[in-house]
Amino acid sequence: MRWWTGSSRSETGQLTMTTKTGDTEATSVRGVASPKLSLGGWARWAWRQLTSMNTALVLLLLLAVAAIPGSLVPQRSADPNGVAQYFTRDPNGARVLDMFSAFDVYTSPWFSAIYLLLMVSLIGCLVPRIRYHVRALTAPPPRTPTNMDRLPVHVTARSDAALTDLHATAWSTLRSFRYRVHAYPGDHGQLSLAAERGYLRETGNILFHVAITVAIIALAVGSGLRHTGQRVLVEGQSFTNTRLAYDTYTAGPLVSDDSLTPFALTLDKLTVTYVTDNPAAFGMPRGYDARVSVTRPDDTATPGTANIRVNEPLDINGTNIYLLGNGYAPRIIVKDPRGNVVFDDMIPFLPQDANLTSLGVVKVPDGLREQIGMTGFLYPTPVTTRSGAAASALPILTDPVVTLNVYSGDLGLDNTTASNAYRLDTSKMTQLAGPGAPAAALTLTPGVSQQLPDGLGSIEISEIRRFASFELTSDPIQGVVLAAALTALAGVLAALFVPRRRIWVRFTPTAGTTRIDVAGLARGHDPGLEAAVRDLTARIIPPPPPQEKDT
Amino acid sequence: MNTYLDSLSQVALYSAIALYVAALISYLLAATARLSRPAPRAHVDAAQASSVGSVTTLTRPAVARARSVPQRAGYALTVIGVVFHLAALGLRAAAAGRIPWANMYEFSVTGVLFLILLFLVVARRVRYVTVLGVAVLGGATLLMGAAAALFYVPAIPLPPALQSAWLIIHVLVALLATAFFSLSCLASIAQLWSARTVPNTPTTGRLRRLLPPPEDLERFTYRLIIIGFILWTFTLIAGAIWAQRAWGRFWGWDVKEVWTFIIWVIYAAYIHAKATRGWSGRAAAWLAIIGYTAVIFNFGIVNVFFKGLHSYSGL
Amino acid sequence: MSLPFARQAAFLAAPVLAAILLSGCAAQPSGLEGLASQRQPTSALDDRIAELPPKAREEAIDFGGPLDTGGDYTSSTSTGRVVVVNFWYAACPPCRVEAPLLSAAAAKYAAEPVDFIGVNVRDSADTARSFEREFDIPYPSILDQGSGAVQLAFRGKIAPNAVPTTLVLDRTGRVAARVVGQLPDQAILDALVDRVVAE
Repeated sequence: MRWWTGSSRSETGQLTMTTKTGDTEATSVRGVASPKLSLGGWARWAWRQLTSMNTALVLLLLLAVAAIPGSLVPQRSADPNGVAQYFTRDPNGARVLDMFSAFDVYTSPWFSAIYLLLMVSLIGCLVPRIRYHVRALTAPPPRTPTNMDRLPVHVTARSDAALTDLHATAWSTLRSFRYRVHAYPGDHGQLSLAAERGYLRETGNILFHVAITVAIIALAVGSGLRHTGQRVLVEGQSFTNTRLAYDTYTAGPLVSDDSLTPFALTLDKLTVTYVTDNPAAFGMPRGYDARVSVTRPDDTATPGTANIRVNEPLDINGTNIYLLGNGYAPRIIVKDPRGNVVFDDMIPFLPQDANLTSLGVVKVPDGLREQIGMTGFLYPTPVTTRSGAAASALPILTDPVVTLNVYSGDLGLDNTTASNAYRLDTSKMTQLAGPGAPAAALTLTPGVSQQLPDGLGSIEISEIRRFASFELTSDPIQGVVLAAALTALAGVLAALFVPRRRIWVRFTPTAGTTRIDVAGLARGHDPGLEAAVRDLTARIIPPPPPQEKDT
Repeated sequence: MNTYLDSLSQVALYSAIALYVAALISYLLAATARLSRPAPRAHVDAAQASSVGSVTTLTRPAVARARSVPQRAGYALTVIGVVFHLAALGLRAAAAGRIPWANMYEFSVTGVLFLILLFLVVARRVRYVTVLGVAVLGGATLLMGAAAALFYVPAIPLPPALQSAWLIIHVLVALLATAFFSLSCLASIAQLWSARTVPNTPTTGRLRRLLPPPEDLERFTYRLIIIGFILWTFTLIAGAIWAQRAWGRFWGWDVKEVWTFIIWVIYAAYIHAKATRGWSGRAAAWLAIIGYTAVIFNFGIVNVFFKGLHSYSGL
Repeated sequence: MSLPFARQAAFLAAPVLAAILLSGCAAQPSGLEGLASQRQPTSALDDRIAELPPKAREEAIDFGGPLDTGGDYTSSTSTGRVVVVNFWYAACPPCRVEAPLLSAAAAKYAAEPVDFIGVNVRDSADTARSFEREFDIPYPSILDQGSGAVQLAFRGKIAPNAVPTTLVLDRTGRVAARVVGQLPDQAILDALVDRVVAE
């Protein structure tokens, strides 16, 4: 094994290297005196390096590696709850990760740098290649090489047929195989044909790379035009497509508030069917069907009612409405001690497991002596586990039970700080009912009124309805991206499977017979080249008369 | 009715596994028979002897080798195994009342079927059928045994999220691509082994005689990967179209989507490597193996352990 | 000519660094939120105060609906009068903070040709009435939860985009002014209403 131990460069640029093999040292003088490069020279060199295949390869692998952390750490875009949980579980670690954009890997500077660099490399390589290919598309195939032995496939044969006949047969055969053919005369009566086919391979290659670039640019532009939001809607409630009606809403910078298509959507009924005939999947939802009424003031052509199912979104003038989730929403009625109703609302309880054990938060800010807040669980089919805990056995409502812990005090709604409707801030409240409080948690069943602790009043669940969670998105760029993706697919298909070949046929008339040399050269991997050349040769030579035998 | 058909399906599956094991033994017998013969110079043919500048005449010596009895038996047993395998899938489909690829168990069973079918097609055209048979059948048996033991779930209907024609298209093409990638990984490992100039022991040196020359394996790997790559690109696109239909966005960097992307990029790098001087040969083989590692991670780890929009493992 | 790897890596690092610096300015794409969504604090939006001169105002808006105090309201009953429309719901913090301002303003303009009307976008009649009792709101509110008709009627260039939003309609029913978000102080509402009354 040789180890490099030192080097020095002389003024003229000669490189002297010392190497060590075992105990012996050797010196060698390498290299021609290389010229000093100017700044422009270095810039050109750097550009050549950037647009080289080597760099593209390294960047591709780097891209693959850089994408990995985004799958191991929860991402804000795909799993914001997971990120929040990470922060509560390990705040210090989470802060460190956040510094490196580990929760937003795919919009982080370092990930973007890699694919941006890759795009630059790609475009820088693509432009000259397009120019070259356009020229090649109209140029004749290159001259027949003198020494055909240097080509990967070279076949020789002899024939007694006339030179012109052979030439004509060769020409027509090549043309029949869709080669572009050009005749080159040679010395000593030689005639040769140069043929080339498979320009589609390079065209496909270029198309693929251009399509990818278009897709990436479209994605970047499209994210500015995209808007998406969610809304939880209980049966009977309606949603108007204005910003204030969304539960969450994000939009790209190019979206203006009045670009939302005006419509109102009412959830008439959410029907869920369950599997009952398969014991292994008893109680598993078989299908969700949200029947909605749509009011569109600008367009009476839209149907009044529609059904939204999973995998079957509703499209209203470019805004697509998807059925994402569902759950139960008990209707909670709170009365003051005199029996007047002070609060009547349907509160969506968010599912925590597949059996729709759901968690809900109720806030009653007005009407009672004090503000009260309640958190609790809804069990659609209540059972008691072996450890004594309450749980739900099925997602279907069978004698459902709602347990509530009750707090009174200041809900924190009377100042301008943000409040989350699904979370109760008990920092300024005292617990009146529940574990650790004077009274036990309230256990409510539909239709039965219960007293609130401290003589605050009474509470009752009058009914339990379903809610559907809808996602409304508008993404004008998706068509462009799809078209680009399909073009890329077509391009890569051509780029990998269309053989690009050059075939040369040389006829050398010698005494009496003609010597035929057929040689082939392929661009890239072409396992069929040899067979093609041999097949071609066989077609050029007229079949021998029956009594002659070849070896 | 469901459970009865499901049990029948399992019986058929175990029968298929048994037949594959029998085929594996057959190929192993063929391998030992080959090894006990004195070392032939069968690897040297005109293509390898001189790389550039070879002049060949119209006829060349054909190295046709008739299939030995164990080889033919292995092939036949595999074919019968495939029949039982198809029956297992069909019965599973009947038991569940739907297409049989909707959870890890069914993904594995279908995926291995595609791999074996691919093997059957390839085995007719290559000379190194013995080694191929041992590798593929050995791997397939292990995978199917693991699937039956670890991933089995009773046959149940499709959850609403999977009730779409895209299930048929997207998963089918993904499993097909996986079959091609699996075979390409086996070929790459064989290529690296075949290219070793120094055998560890006399035994491994003789084992290497079973392998074709590394250039053949490299070409074979390339042809498999370009097909797999096209199929994987289609999987990506079909998945995006389906995601847009089901979830309202065609790309969200969900864990499964990330790993599908990573796999695509690695195999794209492989194709670039084959076109770059200095990256052919060993480096390309390693890239193919790394790509397949990502495929296995995507299939075995992400499906099973990572929760997300894509978790349909059924476990 | 092939340089030692270290040199090559160094020359590759420069454009990589440049790309990192440049891409730090990349736009933030919108993402998919989780199901346990949070009601966005709508007061976090810019509290924009907009006034439209008569020529720039859009068409008159016809709206109405069931009132929490019973009966119905139609905007035609307010023709010839200035109308202050306030979009709210009970558990919305900025609505609660601005409620006393609106109550005082309603009292102040009681003798003038100004009508105050609320539009409750989330609650039921009982919940809304509890709020009105709590904050001494003398005017009723339309319950828009069931149909969303009032929100739909107010679509346009100067729409209620957040909760709360306060709109001032002129005597012909066109939107003359808008305050998005919590009313900063009463003086602003008074100024807006005075100007429209004076027309």
